[in-house]
Amino acid sequence: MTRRNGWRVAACSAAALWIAGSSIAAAQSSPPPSGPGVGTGPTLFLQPDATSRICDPKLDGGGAEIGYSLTASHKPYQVVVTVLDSLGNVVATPFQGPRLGGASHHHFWDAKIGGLWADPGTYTIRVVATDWRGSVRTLDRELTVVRLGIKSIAAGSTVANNEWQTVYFRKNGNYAFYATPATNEWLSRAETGDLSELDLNNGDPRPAPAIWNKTDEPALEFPPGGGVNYENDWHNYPLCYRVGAVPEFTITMGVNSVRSSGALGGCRYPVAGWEIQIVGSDGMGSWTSATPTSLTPGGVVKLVGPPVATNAERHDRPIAWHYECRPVGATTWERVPGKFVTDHRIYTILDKPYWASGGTGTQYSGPWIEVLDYLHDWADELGITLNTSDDVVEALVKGYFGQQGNLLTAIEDVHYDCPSEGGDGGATHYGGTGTVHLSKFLNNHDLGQYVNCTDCATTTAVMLSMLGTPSLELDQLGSMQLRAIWGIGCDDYTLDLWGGSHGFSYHHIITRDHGVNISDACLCVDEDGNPDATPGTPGYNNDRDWNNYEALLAHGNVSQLFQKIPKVD
Amino acid sequence: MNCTKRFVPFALVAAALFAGSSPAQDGAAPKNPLLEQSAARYGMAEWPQGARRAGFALGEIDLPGLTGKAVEFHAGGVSRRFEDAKGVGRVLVELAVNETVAESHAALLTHIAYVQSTKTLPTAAERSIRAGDVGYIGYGGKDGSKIAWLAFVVGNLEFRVQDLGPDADGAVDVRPIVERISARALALPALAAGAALPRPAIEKFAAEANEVKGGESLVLDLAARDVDGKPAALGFVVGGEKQGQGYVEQDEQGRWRFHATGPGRLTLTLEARSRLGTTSAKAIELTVR
Repeated sequence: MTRRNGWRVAACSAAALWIAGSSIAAAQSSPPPSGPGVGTGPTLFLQPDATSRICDPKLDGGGAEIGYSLTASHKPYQVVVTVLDSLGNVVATPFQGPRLGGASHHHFWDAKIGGLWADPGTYTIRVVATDWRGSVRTLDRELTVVRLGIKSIAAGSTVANNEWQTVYFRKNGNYAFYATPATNEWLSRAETGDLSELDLNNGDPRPAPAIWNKTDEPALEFPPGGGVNYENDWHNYPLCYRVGAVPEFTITMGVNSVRSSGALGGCRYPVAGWEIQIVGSDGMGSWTSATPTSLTPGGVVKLVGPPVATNAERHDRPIAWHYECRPVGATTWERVPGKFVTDHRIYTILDKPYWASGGTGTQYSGPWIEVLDYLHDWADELGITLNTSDDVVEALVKGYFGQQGNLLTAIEDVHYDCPSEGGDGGATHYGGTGTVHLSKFLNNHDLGQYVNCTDCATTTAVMLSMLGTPSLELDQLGSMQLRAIWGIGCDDYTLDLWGGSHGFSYHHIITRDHGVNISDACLCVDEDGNPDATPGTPGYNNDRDWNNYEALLAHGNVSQLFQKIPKVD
Repeated sequence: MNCTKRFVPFALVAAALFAGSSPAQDGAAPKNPLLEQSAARYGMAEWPQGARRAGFALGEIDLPGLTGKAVEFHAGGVSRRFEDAKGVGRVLVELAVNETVAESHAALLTHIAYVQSTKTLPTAAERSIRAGDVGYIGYGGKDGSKIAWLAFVVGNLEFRVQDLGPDADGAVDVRPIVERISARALALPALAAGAALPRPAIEKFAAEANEVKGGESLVLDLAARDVDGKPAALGFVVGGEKQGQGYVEQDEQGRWRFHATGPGRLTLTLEARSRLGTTSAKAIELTVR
């Protein structure tokens, strides 16, 4: 008997074959070979090659790889590869036929038996080769079928305060704030009526939840008894990191599976004498554990991935998780065939979210998904790379105003509250009571399509703040006589905003340097050199120098009064 | 820790927002010239001081041809949206139930001051509309002839009735709606002088434990009654300084449960909401491990 790469190699007749595992423990308890040998020894023509020791058929591409080599011969060998269950019954024949000598040969068993997933348990891979003289050589390799599956992933960062939960603001059409669960942004476990955490009741692996694409509502479930609840078994929410952060995922393994009989079963690991680890890879690099620990059902492992982007962006990042195993004490890992892919949407923001002081509630748990999504849609459309706060302000102010390129309307299709649009003279509808009703604003302008400057200033201030733009203030301007302006949602520039008068009793804008530069998303000034005439040339007001803004907006000097940003609901 | 509080009145919140910031004043809010000028422009000092009422049951208002949606409570007050048979929002009624008449006047002032047009708004009385103690009209539509909104006070109640699409096909006439609401509010009995606003009572609010593991839940034991003794509507706020996370839902047995979704300490506040537009709140502190 010899041992090579975990194989038991026997030069004997089939009747004399003995089976043992590759583990040390199994080898020690195995019976010695017996019976008359046939041939002159295994090294003559059948040699072991890389073959799986552990497999999970329910992984994508999962199954057992089977390898061996045959020495050179002028005639082909007859080879039979079979899989035996723990009782010695042949349950599969992955290959049967002639194979040339002088080469390595590889086969793959998909670990299905009669079309069903092989149950977790111990199997034997047997390779029997017969040369032209009738000499028989046999290789046996123990194979453990396991069920390796992820139940949940909790996103974090290697440095504190670099990752935030994201917020939704509706629940089945009503207003309610929900923060993505820090305990498991990615979750795939048994729903009510399901047997196991990892598999569907028909034994198929539970598919990975897709990225939740809605931006206003989280995933919901509707219990048979009525009502509506937040989905708490199967979801995949977007993540939000500070630029350049190093993500750390805490992965929890599932504990049970569904057997081919339809009954609940275990996962059949740990495997005695062997360690199993999980590693991931995506387009940016590898996800590994700083202190590898052997997986156990229900166990938890932390994996650190490649840093997220260094600019603010939205990035869908599929991660292929695969497993590796090795004998205890060994230094190198063998790949377990197959992978499991989880998709993750990662938003990056430049800095931590800022909020009005004193605000409390779930809405302050992190940036709102709809706001994150707007920013990145606008940045993409406008061709702005978000490297600095200046870029974020530019994308938000221009995108919010819209009406350029493919941005056919203003945000949520709002219109300036002026007669030409059917409005009422510039009343405040969303932002005037100390709390800006951003959720209603983002819900298809639920308080009406008309907005005034306070609505625009308060909504842009809280949106920019939650996107990590510091030091924002409202800037309340005094009354003024206007030059040509283009109001948000309006068709064109005007010199008669109110039908007979063209001034503001006040105006609200925002600033992040106490008025040195200002931003104003509710109107464009006229940059054609003649701001007292129409038509105009769009002058977007993102971080515009105050003096320049004042000169283009109004006749004479305009007073400023700085105010804190409002709370948000 | 348990604590009970009343919500900060609407007008005080509004005043806080629209105060300016000035380092020179070392935290003292400077006066807001816009509000001062508007108070003078609209003769705020002369506004009638109506009697205080216990609140207003916005959810019990019926508007012909429209379906009222649920009353929504939010910072500063309540609101209710009315839709037509096609589900198109037609009217929005906003209401702030304040402790004092002065607070309602301040809220009305805020509504009319923060109008960008330089035109002076007409009073409801000038247009022969019966709208509370005093009210102002924002006209809209492309021809400027339609009432886009009308804000008015009835004692300590401040209303704003908005037409959500003055020029839209099927737009409603806000005037009779305002008069209907106004008449109902004016007919409410006055509160006794010095009497506090009636608010819902939170009889008990506790969790089965002070700590919970993330991903698990706690049963809440609570009871809250409205001013008429019926169960109050409930709302929950998960907040606090070092914010743990979670949400509250009813389980299949009808029990309220706090579901813990993020580690940290948190303050879970129960808000009992009266049909009359007032609220009470009580908070407990929890730790999510």
